[in-house]
Amino acid sequence: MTKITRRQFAVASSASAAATFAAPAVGQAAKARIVVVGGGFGGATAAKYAKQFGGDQIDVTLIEPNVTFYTCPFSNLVLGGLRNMASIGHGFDTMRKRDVTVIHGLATAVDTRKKTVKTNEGATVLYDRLILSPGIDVRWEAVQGYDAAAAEQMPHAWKAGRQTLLLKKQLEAMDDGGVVVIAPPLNPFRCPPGPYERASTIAHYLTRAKPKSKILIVDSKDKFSKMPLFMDAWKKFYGSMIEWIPQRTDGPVTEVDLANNAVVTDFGTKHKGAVVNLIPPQQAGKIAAAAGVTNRSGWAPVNHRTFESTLKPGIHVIGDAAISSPMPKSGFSASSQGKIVAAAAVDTLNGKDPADPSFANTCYSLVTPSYGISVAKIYAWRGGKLVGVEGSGGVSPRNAPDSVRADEARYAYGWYASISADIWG
Amino acid sequence: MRRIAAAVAILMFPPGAGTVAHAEPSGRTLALSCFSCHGPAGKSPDSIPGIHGRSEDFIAREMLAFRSGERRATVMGRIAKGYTEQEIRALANYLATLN
Repeated sequence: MTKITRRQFAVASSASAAATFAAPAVGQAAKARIVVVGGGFGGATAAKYAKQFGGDQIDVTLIEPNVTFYTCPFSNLVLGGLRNMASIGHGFDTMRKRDVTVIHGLATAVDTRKKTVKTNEGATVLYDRLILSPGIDVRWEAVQGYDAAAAEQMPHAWKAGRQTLLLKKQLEAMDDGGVVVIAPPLNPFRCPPGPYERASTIAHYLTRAKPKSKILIVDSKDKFSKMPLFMDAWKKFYGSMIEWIPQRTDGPVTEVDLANNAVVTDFGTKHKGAVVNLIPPQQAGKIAAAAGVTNRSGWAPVNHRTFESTLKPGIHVIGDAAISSPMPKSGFSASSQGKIVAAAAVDTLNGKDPADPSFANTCYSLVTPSYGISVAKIYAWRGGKLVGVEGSGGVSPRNAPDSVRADEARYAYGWYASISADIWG
Repeated sequence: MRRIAAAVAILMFPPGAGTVAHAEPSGRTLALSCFSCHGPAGKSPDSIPGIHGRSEDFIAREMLAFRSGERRATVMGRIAKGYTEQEIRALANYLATLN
């Protein structure tokens, strides 16, 4: 199928869906409706499992702007030349086969009184329970000078797709001996180990294609996820190619200097790059704020037992958009929440009290194509709050032999195949 | 009818009432986490061993061996330590129903 026909198909299907939902058929027994916004790790999981748990008694609708959803996980492998974009793209045909109504459009408004979601394509969708999984939005200008236009010059590539390809093209066009600046933000942000895995896969590419080049990580933090494991492996595989500058040395990144293609720290230091990957501060995807489920932090506070909003009853918020701590903002976490929320929404519609939840997270990072490290944790509801189960999880052992790293790399690829099949397959 | 039932449920179990006693996580709830690595319904499409088609006893025995460290693993030891023996038996029981 060509791009154009897919697009036309999407418009056609959303238009017919709009008609269906704007005027519910008279005489049909009204089924309970679960509407999910966002077709990523959280939302697509929630839609699939809500249909599986709810069966014929519950209608499930998924609203997602993209016909193909590109995952942030494994987009670092695309940057390193180890995967292509097609391999991290997922469509929604299987979701439709499962009897989930898929509407391609951007959810722009929620009316909590009428219980409707509106899309930019003109669809109005009624819900009984709403699940929002909108991911992140960039907080433009949180780093001074970093706006949408600046992101064309200094790609963030923190939403996979066009931005990923933009950064990849810049890396390919760079001369040998160039400096790649990666500037990760303060916590909390999507995928805490992501910037450091990215430094690794870019180093893997540069070591082969442009070995005189350097990677400078200008961090707005003093420590990061899996830090000792990354540091050990960088030294082992990439020598001095990757340099990490913590916040305590230079201060956080506060500004971009577009004329010099540089990031500027609070202490006034300018770090110039041939390529600059600015990973900006983030907040919940726009629809969360429009629905009134975010607080001043820009993220959505939720009751961690059911991930129902503490601000708007009847709306669940999952994935990166939610304040989910102690769970990290990861694809695995989002999918784990999607399953629990699907069960909770179906139970609630059936007049049952949802049981206590159980969540998990396992997050692999590839330092080379055959050297993987991981962090994991199991989460349980104990004493009225969500806790990481004591004694569970943690990071890969520091002094493990290469065979263990090779196994974990193999499992990283296996994880991606499995979770993709579980969600979109 | 369903609406009324839902409304009653909301009155009985207001969101955020964290100290109210609820049912413990079911075997299904616990087992859902497995699929993210072991594939949908435990059928793995790639390098991670599948768990579909295994007996309840097999899964419980393996999980307990991972938990005690008797069986070496990359990540399963860290994961198995997150569950009680009772939870392990419940999730194993659910997984076996998918066979």
